[in-house]
Amino acid sequence: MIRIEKLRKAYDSKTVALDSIDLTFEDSSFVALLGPSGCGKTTTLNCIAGLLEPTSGKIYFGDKDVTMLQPKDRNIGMVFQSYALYPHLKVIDNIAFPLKQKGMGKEERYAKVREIAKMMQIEALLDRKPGQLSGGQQQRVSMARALVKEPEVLLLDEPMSNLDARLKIEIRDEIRRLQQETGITSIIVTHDQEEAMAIADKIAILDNGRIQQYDTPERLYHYPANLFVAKFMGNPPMNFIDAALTADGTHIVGAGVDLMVPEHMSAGAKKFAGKAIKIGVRSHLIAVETEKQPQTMEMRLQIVENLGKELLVSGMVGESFVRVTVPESHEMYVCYRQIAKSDKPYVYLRMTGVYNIFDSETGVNIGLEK
Amino acid sequence: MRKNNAQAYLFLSPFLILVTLLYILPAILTVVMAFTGLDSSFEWEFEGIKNFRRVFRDPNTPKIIINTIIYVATCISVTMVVDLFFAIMTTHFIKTESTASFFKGVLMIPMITPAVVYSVLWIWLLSSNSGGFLNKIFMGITGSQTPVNWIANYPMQVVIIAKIMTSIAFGTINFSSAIKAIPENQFKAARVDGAKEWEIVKSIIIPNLRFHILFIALWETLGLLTDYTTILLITDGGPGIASEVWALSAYHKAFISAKYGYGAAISLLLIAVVLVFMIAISMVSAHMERREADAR
Ligand SMILES: Nc1ncnc2c1ncn2[C@@H]1O[C@H](COP(=O)(O)OP(=O)(O)OP(=O)(O)O)[C@@H](O)[C@H]1O
Ligand SMILES: [Mg+2]
Repeated sequence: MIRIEKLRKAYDSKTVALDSIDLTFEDSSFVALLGPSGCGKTTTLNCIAGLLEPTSGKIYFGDKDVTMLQPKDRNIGMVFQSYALYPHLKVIDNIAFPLKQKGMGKEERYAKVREIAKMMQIEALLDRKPGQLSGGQQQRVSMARALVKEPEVLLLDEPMSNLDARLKIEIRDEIRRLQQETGITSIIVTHDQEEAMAIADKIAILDNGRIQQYDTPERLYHYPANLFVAKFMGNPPMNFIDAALTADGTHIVGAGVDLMVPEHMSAGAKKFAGKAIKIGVRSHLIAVETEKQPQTMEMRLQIVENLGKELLVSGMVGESFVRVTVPESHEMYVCYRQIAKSDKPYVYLRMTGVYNIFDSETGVNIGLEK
Repeated sequence: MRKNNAQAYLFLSPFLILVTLLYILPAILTVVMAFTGLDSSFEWEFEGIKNFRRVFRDPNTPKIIINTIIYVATCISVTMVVDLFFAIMTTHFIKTESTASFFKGVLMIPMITPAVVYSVLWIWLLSSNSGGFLNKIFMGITGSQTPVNWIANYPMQVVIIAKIMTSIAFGTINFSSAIKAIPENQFKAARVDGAKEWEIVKSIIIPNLRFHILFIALWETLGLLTDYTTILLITDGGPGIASEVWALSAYHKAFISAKYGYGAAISLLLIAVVLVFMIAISMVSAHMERREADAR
């Protein structure tokens, strides 16, 4: 288990890259650090690796306080964004480098390298120089180099950002498979939410050097802790519709609807009674009606796109831009097209599943308040 | 395309003519001169390879060759080691930019000081009378009453040290910018992989610099073979021929003894060696360019 406590890193008095980070990584779990550029992902990873000394806070590997230990004394494997292979060494010596530093003999070293090369399917490349490899091959070599010393922790800093879309998915699955086979506690840094969702058991979302939410991909997707997370997770992004809580906090009114606050949100709704809120709802959890009915929201249609397996219907609900996905069927497609072209281009939306409500001012998810 | 080329040549032609006159003509003249007995009477009289035969028969030649080898080899090896040491210290270990810049600035002083001023400084420093700087210290420490004639006693050592000091800045600055160009992640990877500082120098920095090292070594060797100013000004090759090197001997023969043909022959032999180095340099730099293009 790896534990980070109140980790803070200030590069100088003005740039505080990390501000009181608390995180726990369970053994054999795969965790993603996700967030926009400059939010402090690499800084966090480098502190865990020992490449950066934190300004304050503690890092524990198991019960051991490693905060002040050198990287070489932490038994970690690391994969870098640009792979950071040693250009003058052959692939075999690149992979053997960490073993050489441990003082392992040549025979033994090479035997181990061959073993891991087999697992990574790069045996044929061992005698080449890194410059003679494709991006994907370099990626595999750097994975092999990180894994060969059987580290306690595997750290990956945007390992796939230099690969094309197809290869990305292939390598992503492979990293996941290797992680499951070896059971090494792994931490991956990425700014691609889809990648994080696909690969990780848990995701920590960072913004501005602070943890926004640390949870499973499912919960992040359905119950984002705040507007930032809600906007960051999922494609198409979550829809936000302006509304308000009634003064007694029991109803949500706005956009032509009057909804009773669901049971699990009632505690939070009491706290934020009378406040302006945003209803957050995923585009596939909305049904579209062509006729006005009670408890539906009127949407002025703008675009109807055919995505193949579904239609993407977008327009304005009041002042809010909303996207809805509708399972594709030809008649419906024609129907929405015609409505969009007519001079009264309105459809009516009904929420069919979970939705969240956020305080407009602070952005917190009211439903998660206790 | 054709037209552009023609225009380019047109623009370049004054320059090309100048280059031909100033660079190529003297070279041809030197070659021709080497086969003549040209002296202060300026008669171009062909003598075939007589000059070359004289060079090899000259009893001083072996000593001059040995001097040249000692001078070049010592200067180059010490310079390279010191260059690398300073570059690594100021770039890899001292991370504060201002300290490193100050240090490099100090290293550059001998390089930018005019050779004459610099040499006078050395002559004063090592002056044979008791007023010389080193003699004052020496006599102060040992209590000896007789000043030492440093330059006469240790001519080779003196010119070698003086030369090394003027050469350090160039290589140091070159290496230090090459170290800066190594991707930071390589150092991080090595640290994570368990490399200690010395191992990082040995397995990351030096291999990344190998072509720079080769290039600077060749370049400096070329300079050492052809540039004799420091020696000329401090010892003038003396005492006797104790610190005479090949290039300086060509100068002495041509300008002191007015044997222009003979001097040209000595130069020509040197040029043959220099050409080998120049070809090597251009091969190394072509390789470096290719490698940099690959890296992109
Ligand atoms: N060496 C440094 N000196 C000063 N500030 C730095 C340094 N390294 C990073 N920072 C700052 O710290 C903050 C966090 O940087 P970090 O590299 O951790 O971001 P990141 O989340 O990895 O971003 P990216 O996705 O772009 O890699 C940024 O604001 C960055 O400008
Ligand atoms: Mg980063």
